[in-house]
Amino acid sequence: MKNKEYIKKASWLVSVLLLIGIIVLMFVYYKTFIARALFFLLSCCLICLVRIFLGPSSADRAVALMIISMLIIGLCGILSIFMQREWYIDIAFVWTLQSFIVTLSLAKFLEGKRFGE
Amino acid sequence: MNEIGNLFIVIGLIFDFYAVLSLLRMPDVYTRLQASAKSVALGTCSIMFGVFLHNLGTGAAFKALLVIGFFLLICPVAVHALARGAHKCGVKMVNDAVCDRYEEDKRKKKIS
Repeated sequence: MKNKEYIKKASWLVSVLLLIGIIVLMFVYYKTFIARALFFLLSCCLICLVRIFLGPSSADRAVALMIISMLIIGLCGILSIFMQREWYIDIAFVWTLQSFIVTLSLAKFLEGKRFGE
Repeated sequence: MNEIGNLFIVIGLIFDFYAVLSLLRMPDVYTRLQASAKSVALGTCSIMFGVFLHNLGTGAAFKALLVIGFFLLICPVAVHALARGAHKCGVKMVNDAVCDRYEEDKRKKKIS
């Protein structure tokens, strides 16, 4: 039982290290400014995943989820410059309202009440 | 205009990195929430202002300004709701905390 949990944690760490390695490779490969900003924000999202994994209480995980959803708004804005498409800003606009609803429902869940109240 | 937009994007990236760093390094839920949410608000607004400067004069620029407005409305409300939920959930403060006004008000006036 204990051995299984240990293997799970080790596999999680290896996968995160692989993702960070891929991001560093992309950082060397793409040489424009916008692409490098994109991969910097992606690595910031990965560091937030560490807090979701380690957080002692469920409130920590909710806070980290809120920070990720607010970083993704900026990510969509940079993607619209990188891909030369305008509709990524529409996605950012919808994502803002959706993350607000998700955060409010998580806070309501943390209070220990039911959703109907 | 593109160079000025790049400057704003760099400022936003620095503030976003500080937000993630404070999420890792702060000792408590409430301090984490305050430090990371405030700096991520400034970082995302600065990035969207950079996007606004990049495609100035089109319809996308107006949409970027709209994102900034809605984000400034939404972020404090979400942070306040999360802090209230964490306090009601029973998450303890760090040992160096000086005062807890919400708990005192609960005892005196019996606010729910």
